[in-house]
Formats: sequence, structure tokens, C-alpha cells
Amino acid sequence: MTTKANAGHNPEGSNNRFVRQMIDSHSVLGLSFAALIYVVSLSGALTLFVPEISLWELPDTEASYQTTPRAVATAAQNAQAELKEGNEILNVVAYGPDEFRPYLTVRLNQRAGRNEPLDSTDWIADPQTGELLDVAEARYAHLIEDLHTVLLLPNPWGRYLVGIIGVCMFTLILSGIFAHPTIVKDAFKLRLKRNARMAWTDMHNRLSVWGLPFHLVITFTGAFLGVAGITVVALAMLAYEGDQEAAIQVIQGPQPVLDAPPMTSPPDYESMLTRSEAADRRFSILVASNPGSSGHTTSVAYYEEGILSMRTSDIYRNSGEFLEKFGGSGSPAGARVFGMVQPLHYGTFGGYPIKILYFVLSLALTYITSSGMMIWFKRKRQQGQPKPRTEALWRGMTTGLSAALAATALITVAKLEVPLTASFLGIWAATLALIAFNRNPLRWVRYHYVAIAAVLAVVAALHFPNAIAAAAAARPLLISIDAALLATALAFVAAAFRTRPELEASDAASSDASGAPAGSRATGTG
Amino acid sequence: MWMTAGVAAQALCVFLLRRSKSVDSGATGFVAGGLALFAASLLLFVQGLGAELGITWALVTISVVAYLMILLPFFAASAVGHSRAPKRERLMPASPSGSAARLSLRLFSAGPLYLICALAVSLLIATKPWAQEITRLFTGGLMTPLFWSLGALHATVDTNLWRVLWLPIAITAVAAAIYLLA
Repeated sequence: MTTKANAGHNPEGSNNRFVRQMIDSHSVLGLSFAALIYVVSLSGALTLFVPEISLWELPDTEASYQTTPRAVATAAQNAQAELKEGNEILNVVAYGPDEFRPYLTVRLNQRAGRNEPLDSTDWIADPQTGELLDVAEARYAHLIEDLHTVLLLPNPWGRYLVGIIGVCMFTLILSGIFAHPTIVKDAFKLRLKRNARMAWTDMHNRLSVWGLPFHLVITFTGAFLGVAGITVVALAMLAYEGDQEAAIQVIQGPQPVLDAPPMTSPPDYESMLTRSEAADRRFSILVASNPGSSGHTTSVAYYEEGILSMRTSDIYRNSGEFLEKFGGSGSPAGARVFGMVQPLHYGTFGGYPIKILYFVLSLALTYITSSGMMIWFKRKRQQGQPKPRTEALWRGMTTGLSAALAATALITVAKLEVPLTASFLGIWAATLALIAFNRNPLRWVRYHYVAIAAVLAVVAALHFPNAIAAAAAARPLLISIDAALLATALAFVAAAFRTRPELEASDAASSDASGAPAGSRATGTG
Repeated sequence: MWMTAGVAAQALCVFLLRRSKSVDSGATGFVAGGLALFAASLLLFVQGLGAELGITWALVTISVVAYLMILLPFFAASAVGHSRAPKRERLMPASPSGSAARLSLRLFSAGPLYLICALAVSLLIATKPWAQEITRLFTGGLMTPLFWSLGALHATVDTNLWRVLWLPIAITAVAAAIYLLA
């Protein structure tokens, strides 16, 4: 049914054909991908703090903000010595301490053969001696990271899907801008006392418009990181005879010498690290590619102050010869831009102030998705075509995700030996079913908010003694995380209170019209 | 110090711009003042952090400053909106995306067709010798999501379904021809 409804300044009811088409595009893509966008956005907000969450899971970690070239070199050599017999070594990566992760870790990537799956092990190393201490198995942090980067799907399909979601989000932003011809005029409009659809539209638009620079950057860089795999496959097929590793190596600096003799001992990492030290440099990562071959390379990456592409690498042949500086100031535009992608996406370029602002803006992005769905539900109700089942499913999905994250945090802190990913998915599905297939979904959302708050408070209380007993370098971070958990618990209590008027309205509507399912009258809280 | 001043300038900028919407006269002055303060905040951030980091910081902070200043009523409100709707707003225009079959074709174009199209154009950029190899590769890589997004937007907006289907194929064919011939 097409009408000539006069909707005033409301772009959603616009008669402008171009605007209507943009709104339609926005609705089609938004509704198709809303659930996945919500999951990627919320998990992305938490992924910003994966190094801190890893430390929270392993509070006994030998924490320090300082290390030495000798300790890093020893840790890398010790990791190399852990290579399983018959396996080929891909690389050894040592991660130095920084302000977000006050600990030294080292990773060994190996595989049984060229087409065999990657076998990756991380260790926490003593930052003063380089001795390998424990295998760094931060299951909860990995769960959050995998949820954001691969949606818990097998690689590479999960990463491709997240890339597609990034593209979709970027497209949604473009259509959102074009669908809003009065974007400047409406920049401060927030009519919370008008009808619910209009109120949610204003909320959605204000969050979107004022966060626009962040949303453009985060979705574009996310799309690039996700789609890069597809681009590399296509590039390899076209220009590198299908060899993806060769295609990747082109962007990683000098090429390996393939027929070089094998190394008789591990590369002299300490000399490389010492040579690359300088007063204005802070060590970040050491990557030794195939350290068994003298023709491959070792990169020593360090932070460079004052630029976005933070990591600059000194590249050495494994035999010890210095080859070149790669990335950072003075490097080709392509390398500079590539270096900016990760810091811009993960907000690592400005310390904790930027990380916290990124967290707020990521939550806003999650809320934009949620409010977009609320607008659709309200619109459908106004049009006399309510979608109570879809609305209940949406509420179940969103509340279930929070419930599953809270419950798996409890499993982690209680050190329960259960499969974490399976538990996470099981709790999420059970919560979704409990809410979606209930006669009054809103009431059950409320119960779950209270339950989530209780679980988070218990998690913080259980963990707090560990935080107090942790090493001095780790203690402030761990106490901050526990405090953040308590604050989140309070936020859920507040959210539960906020649903009360709507719940009462829903109950009143139910009693007025007996026989009709209560959920069909539930109003939204987002 | 520079950054604190920058954030303060941004807060004042948002205040003035907001004020311009509620005054009967003199709105232009408020807008000009607001924009001038935003420019000043950029300068303050650049002064403190350098151009690259300063501009990025400024764009992040202004979003949160604006959120704090504009969205406070939302957090204070006990409920968002009411359930009564004026009659004219119950008569919403139907969506123009059409039948399920047409919508499926649009999504087919927005997904696989425009992905291949975006890859074709990006690979052309990445492989033809117009700049250093690393710059070409990264430019091509960055263009893939951009071209794909623009294509997906076209596929979901254009009312001419034939154009939605043939345009990505034609662009892919042209890119392939240029790759092979040039």
C-alpha cells in the first residue's frame, strides 16, 4: 500500500523517492543482518580489552611493564625449543609488555605439514629471565575475541562473514546518511515524549550522527580486516600462481632467500633487539619467520610516538644481517596506511583514554542496532502488523548474549572444567528460548537482567581476592576490571527497573484484552 | 593540557550549535561560533599530539562530548515514547523493495555480484604499475570493501532491477578487459 501520508520532517515518512529508496535499502540490509551486527558490535566493545581480560583470567601471571632484550631473546629461543619432532616451524612471536598488557608472552606457530592445520601455543615468560612459566590459556578472552573476529565459526569462513558484516555496516551508514536529508537541521532533536517510534528514531539518529566519524572508521577498517582474506586469495590466484603465502610476504617486507643454508643455532635475537634499541623507541613484538632457515627474516617491531601507524619494524636476516626499516614515518604510503588499520580499529593509539572512548562508542553502535530494530517493531505495530514473535526473538537473542557472557565469566572465575564455547552457546540458546517462547517476554527479560547483575556481582566478588594478591604491576588493572563488573551489574539493575513501567503497561493491556498474547502489547526498552 | 582545552572547546562548540536551534534570531552567530570552536579544538589537539593523532583524537572525543550533552535526557527518562500514534503516522508508505523474488535478486547482486566486481576493480588497482608495489597492494585492498559497499548500496536502492544485475557484470568485464589488454 502506497500512501501520500504527510509526515512533516520525519524522513521515515518522506515522499522524496530517493530518500524512500535509501530508507528501504537501510531497512533491507539492517533487518537481514541486525542480529549478526549486534553480536559483532557488542563483542567488539569487549574485544578492546582482551589483553586485560587475559590477565584477569590468569591473575598469577608474572607481571611487569619492563623487560630486557636478553629476556625476550631467551623466551623466543625457549619457545623454539618446544617444537614437536617432525613438525615444521612457521614462526616464533614474542610480545613485549605495554600499557595494556604488563606481561611478556611468546607464541610458537608450528604444523605437521604444509596443508596441515596450524598448531599454536602461547606461554607467559618471566619478563626478567625469559624462562617459560605457564601455557597462557585465557579461554574467556579467546572466546570473546573469536566471537568478534570469526563469530565462533571455523576459519576462514567466520572471518569472511565478519568482513561481509563490516561491508554491510558501512553500507548501512552510507544509506543512513543519504536517507536523512535534514541531518544538520535535526542534529539535536530528541523527542522522547512523542510516540515510541518517533522517540526511538530520534535516539537512533542522534547516536548515529554524532558518532559518525567513529562508525565510518570502525566499520571500514573492520570490513578491510575481514575481507582482506578474500582479496589475498584473489590476488594470489591472479598474480602469484595461487600461492597465498607469497602474496602475503610481499606486504611484509624483504623476501626470504629460499635456498639459504639452515641455522645451526637459533638466531641471535638479543643482538637484533639491542641494535634496534633507542631512547625514543619502545619494544613491541619480535617475529622470527622460520627461524631454522638463515634466509628467512626476523622483525623487531617497536612503537613510534606521534603517528597512527604505531609499529615500525627493523628487519633482519635470521643470520643476523640488518636489511631495512619497514613501516612507520618515512615509509611508502601503502605501508603507512596498513599500519594505521589495526590501531584505528582497536583503539590502541591513545592509551586508556582512547580505549575507554572507543568502548563507549562501540556500545553506542550496539545500541544503534538495537534501536533500529525497535523502530521497526514500533512501525509495524503502528501499521497494524505487529511482530510479537520477532520482537520476542530479538529480545531473547540480545539478553541471551549478555547472559551467556556473564555466565561464562562465572565459569571462568570459578575454574570449572567445562567446555567454555559449548557452555556459552548453550546458555545463549537456552536464554533465547526462555524469553522468546514465553507469554510475556518482557517480564523474562527483566528477570534475566536481575540474574545477570547477580552473576556479575558474584564474579567480581570471587575474583577480588585474586586481584588483591596479584603482582603490583597487574593489581590496578585487575581491581579496575572487578570494579567495572560491579558497575555493569548496577547498570543491569537499573535496566531492570527501567522496564517496569513498560511491563506494567504490558500487563494492563493483557488484562484488558484477555485471550491475546501479552507479548503482542509489550513496548520496547531496547 | 592541550587536550583538556580541546575537549572544553568541543563542549562549548556543541553547546553553541545546540543553542542555535532554540533561538528565534541570531542563529547564524551561534553556528559560526560553534564551528569556529570546533576548528579551534582541532588546532589544540594537533598542537598537543601532532596532525595525525590530533585529528583522530578530536573526532573521537567530539562524539562522546556530544553524546554526553545531547543524550542525557534519555538516561534520565523513565520511558521512551508512548504507544499512541497520530492517525497520519499510522499510514506509513509501503517499502518499495518489491516481492521476495525481486528482493532476492537484489541481495544476489549486492552480495556475490558486487563482491566479484569490487575484487576485479581492486585487483586492477593492485596489479597495474601505477605506484610502488606495496602502495598498490594496500590501495587495492582498501578499495575492495569501499567498492563492495557502494555496489551493495546501488543494488538495494536502484529501482531498475535489470540495471542492478547487469551493471556489476559489465564493470567486472571492463576491469578484466583492461587487465588483459593494458
